[in-house]
Amino acid sequence: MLLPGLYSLLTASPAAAAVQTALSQPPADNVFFNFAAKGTRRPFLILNLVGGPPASGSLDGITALIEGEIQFDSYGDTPQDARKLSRALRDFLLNTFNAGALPDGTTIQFVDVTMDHDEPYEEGGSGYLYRTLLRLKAFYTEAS
Amino acid sequence: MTNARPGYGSKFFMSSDNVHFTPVAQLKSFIPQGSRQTVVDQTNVLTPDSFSRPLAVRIDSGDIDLVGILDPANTGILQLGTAHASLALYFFQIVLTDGTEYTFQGLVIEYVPFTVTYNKAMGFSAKIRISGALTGPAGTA
Repeated sequence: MLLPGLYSLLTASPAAAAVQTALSQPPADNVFFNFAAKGTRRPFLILNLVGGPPASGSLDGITALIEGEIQFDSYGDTPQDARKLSRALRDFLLNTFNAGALPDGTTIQFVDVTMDHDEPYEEGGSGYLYRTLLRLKAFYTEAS
Repeated sequence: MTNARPGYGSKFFMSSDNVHFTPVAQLKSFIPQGSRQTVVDQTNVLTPDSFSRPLAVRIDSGDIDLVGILDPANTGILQLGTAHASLALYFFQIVLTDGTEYTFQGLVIEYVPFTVTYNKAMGFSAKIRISGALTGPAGTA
């Protein structure tokens, strides 16, 4: 599936070293699906699939190819930390990786940035939490 | 009660010999542009009133536009290019969702083998010029 494949790529692939460096250590404990646990060390990352319809359909049926939109919420103790993680993600996924097979076998092609902005800060237990929201468009075919 | 059926499930076949028909693969739509009569004006000085009198003399069955999703090596799509390059009259058969059939002969007068947009699925398109009549359940149409 897409999100577990992305998780493995971002947390374990040597090619994603810039992303892993921008995350709190160890990276594998600081990337989440849909929501993060309370008290998670910053910076951390949350992955969401915000859209995953077939790339197209025809009289023969829908395509296995998905035209997806994935949201990456980067959280940090400062706006700079959140932005640095988000930029590392964008540069890695669109430029360095760009296309190929994820560790789970999903094949993916990143094609565009559809949203990139800062969200208002949130009050945490003992300070503020800053978030940079990044949405990427990608075509992918899931392995399972 | 209005009876309606979806387009999904309809098929568009073509053949060079009128025996072996192959479906055109991955079509999103096939839309006839309509049959049209050619008329001449037979109004003359003996026409009894002030209204014109058209005379239908010929029917042009028109074109059919095809649009699909490209699978670059799919021979069900590539056959359109073969027909286009041959300049030959091909045989076509349309089967609608409810099984209603239309047949006709035609030329693949336009063929766009691929359309590429960086953030969209690739497509193809073609235009068929109907030669003669479109034959359907009510005869020639």
